[in-house]
Amino acid sequence: MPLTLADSSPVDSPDREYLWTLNFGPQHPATHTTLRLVLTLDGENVVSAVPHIGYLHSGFEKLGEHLDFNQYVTIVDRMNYISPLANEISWHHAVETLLGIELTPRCIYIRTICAELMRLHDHLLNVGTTALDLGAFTAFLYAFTQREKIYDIVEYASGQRFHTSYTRVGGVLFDVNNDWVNKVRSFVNAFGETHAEIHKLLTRNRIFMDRTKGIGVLTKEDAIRFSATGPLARASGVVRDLRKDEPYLAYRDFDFKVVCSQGGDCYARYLVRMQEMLESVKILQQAIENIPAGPINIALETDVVLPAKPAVYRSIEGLIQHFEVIMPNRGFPVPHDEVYAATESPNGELGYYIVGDGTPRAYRARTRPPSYIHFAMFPHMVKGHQLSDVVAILGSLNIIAAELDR
Amino acid sequence: MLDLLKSQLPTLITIAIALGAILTTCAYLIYIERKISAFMQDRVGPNRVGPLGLLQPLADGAKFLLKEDVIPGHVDKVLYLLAPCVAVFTAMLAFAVVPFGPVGDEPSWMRFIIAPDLDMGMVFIFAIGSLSVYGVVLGGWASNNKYSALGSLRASAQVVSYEIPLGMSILGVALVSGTLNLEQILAQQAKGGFLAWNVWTQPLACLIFFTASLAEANRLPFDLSECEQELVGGFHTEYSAMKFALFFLGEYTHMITIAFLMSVLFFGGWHSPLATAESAYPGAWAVKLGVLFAKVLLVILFIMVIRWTIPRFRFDQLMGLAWKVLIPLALGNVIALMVIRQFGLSLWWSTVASAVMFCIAGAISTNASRAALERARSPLATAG
Amino acid sequence: MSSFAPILVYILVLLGFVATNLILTHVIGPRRKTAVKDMPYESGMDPVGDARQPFDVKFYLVAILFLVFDVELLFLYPWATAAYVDSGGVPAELKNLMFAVMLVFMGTLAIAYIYAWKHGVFKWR
Repeated sequence: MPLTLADSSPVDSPDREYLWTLNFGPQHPATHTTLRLVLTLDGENVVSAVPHIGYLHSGFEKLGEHLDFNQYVTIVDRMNYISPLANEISWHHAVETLLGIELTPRCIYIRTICAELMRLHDHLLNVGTTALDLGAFTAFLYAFTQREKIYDIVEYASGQRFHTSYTRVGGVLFDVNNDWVNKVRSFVNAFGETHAEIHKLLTRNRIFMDRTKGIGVLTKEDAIRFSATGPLARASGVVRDLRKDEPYLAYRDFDFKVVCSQGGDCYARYLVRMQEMLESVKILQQAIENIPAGPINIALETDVVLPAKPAVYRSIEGLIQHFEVIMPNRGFPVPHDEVYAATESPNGELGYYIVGDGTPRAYRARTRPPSYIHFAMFPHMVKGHQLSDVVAILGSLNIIAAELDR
Repeated sequence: MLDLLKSQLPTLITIAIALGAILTTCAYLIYIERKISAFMQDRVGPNRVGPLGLLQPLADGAKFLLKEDVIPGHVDKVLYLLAPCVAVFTAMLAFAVVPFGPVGDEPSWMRFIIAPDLDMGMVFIFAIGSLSVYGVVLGGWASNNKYSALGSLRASAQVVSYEIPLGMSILGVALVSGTLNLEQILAQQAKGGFLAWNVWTQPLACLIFFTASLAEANRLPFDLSECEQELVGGFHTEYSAMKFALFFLGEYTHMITIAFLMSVLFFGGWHSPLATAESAYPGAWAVKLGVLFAKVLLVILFIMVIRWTIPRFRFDQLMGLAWKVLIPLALGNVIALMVIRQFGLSLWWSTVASAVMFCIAGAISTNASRAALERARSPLATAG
Repeated sequence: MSSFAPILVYILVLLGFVATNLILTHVIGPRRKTAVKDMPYESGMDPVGDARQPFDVKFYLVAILFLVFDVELLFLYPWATAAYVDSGGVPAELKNLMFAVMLVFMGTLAIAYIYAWKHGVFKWR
């Protein structure tokens, strides 16, 4: 069957001039970031919706061609700023695939823990804003209380709360200590309480169910045709999770389930996200008890990682090693090759396509952001719904404009 | 003229006190609302201006006055300026017939109602309540802004729809007490004692009245006309400074009126074990005043807690609730009471009837929502 | 009629109150007009078309239904206050007739209501 996009051309035939054209965004409370939708309304009903992008375009991908693999991590942070660390992990996963680097077991575990923390981080916000868009403010702030704790944990490891820039090629910026592990452990153990509170506030709330059930339905076939990924696809019954299908990091070691639903509507997406949080907690509980000892970064001989500071300051070998990595005309040995590697980010498949040309800067650093793909489905999903449903669907898609426009 | 002024001197004093009290209460209700939401959401709430943030309302008021009074170029100036006036005017006018104290045994220097002995008290409130929709409609129309226009359309449809169950739920009370005068309705409940409170014999009417008046006041879950996430500000998107504050004031005054009406109509007003109709000890009026205010505050707190707990309706669900649920229920309630009164049955049968109707409505709506869901899903599931 | 006099006074006071507020804010507040400030707000974009367009006919339907039911309510109020009071209400010999008439009235209303429902007046989507 050919791919047919929902009718996205504005309606302007004379017999339909009673239709209203309404700008929904870029400066609108429900778009959260700078999205723009041009809605054609028949009373309260949405006749068509045209998504416009580019209001937050900041040339991130172009910057990827001018910064080296370690510097660019500060930029990928800012793409999906709801779960910055997940972007970093994904970026360096692609870079390390290109360079053919095997990470140390300790680093793998720590990155896995960070990735799952970010999944909680992202899902909490999304569940919260879904409720917020429907008018339930309290669940949003319950979620945010927990996000604050994740910020604290991330800050303890990386020194930054938000744009952490924590990962490095071949490792991470700082090793973690036992205090950090304890922090994660106490957070994970207390998390279930908030999760249950949000459940109580929303899941069986009649108004919430009426507002989300049967709204923005995406069938399994459509989800596949539109190449939906992540919770969006899984809520439509597509069993696809890169953590299981193409295991990366340490996901092979853990016992967890892929959460799916058949509903395909906003409520199913909400439920999938809620359940995935519990699965993430399960992974985290297994991971923090089994963090291997050993070095955090790969061996210095690979010419990829920086030596420790004392070595740089006190020995000539260390200094040379440092220069080899840092100096513009030196840097990593990069193959003439191209690679696409993706991770299961909280929002869906987040992939990076990198072309290496021998220099430590990518010849091309293309991002496959889930938001961009998901936003394209919006006109299809909103058809026949009402103005109030626009915010419900938009909320359940979890579209991040910075990632969308790059 | 002078004669009229002289004869209306007590009225003027009452008005001055009532108006002052309403304004202060509104300001502090906003403070209370912010504190309550903060409490519910593990936050601190306003705490910068004055001790515990208690001076926050004053600062807000001053800010409203000092902000730029923008009148955009595209608006219909007269209607644009008229709209907030109508909104606050009608909201406050409705308060004229509400007894805000134990009417009848107050001290000589005080009167607890602005317009006493008005036999059509409730009808007056409904008439004024219907007028209040003009504020919203004019505001939306004059603004020449699509969000405002949509908001005002929603508001007008919503207010007129909920006006009907609101009026019908009162019919039951009128059938029992035989009057529409709020003072007399209150006096009858007080005379009958604790079990004569209308809420026991007419729980369904109480529920309908409460729901419908929430909708009338545009409070969440019924705040579709101004919901931020869809319509930015709804009908008051284009309003700023004091004109916006007037809309806000109108809304909170509305809430106070509802709380008073709930307490007076259904919860026995000032009546309590502490001070019944018979108690004549000195200062009984003060106790009664305190009891009434406590009840009013409880209703207001309940309204606020609702706001911070549940999401809002969609427009079709909102209209469905009014037309398909509340109106049949209210009509059924009236007919039940009519039959009970005609055949001289005990009023407690009304409680039974309420419970039965409530359960039937619940069962029907559960089934209906399930069926609606199936309908909503099936065409999309086959669409290619 | 004298019981309405306080309301009249109240109306005058309220009019004074709102007028004072509007004038005060107009006098005290600063005024700096700019072209963008004068524009209607539409999420930061230039608005497409005028906001004063014909709107959904459903809203008119609701208004008409409201008229029907509201007028009916106004009929019911006098009946409700007079039907079952001990003194000064409807005479005892008319009570049964009154009951029958009211039942017919409510029945008619119910029929009108069901008619409107069946014709999909309450359906919004």
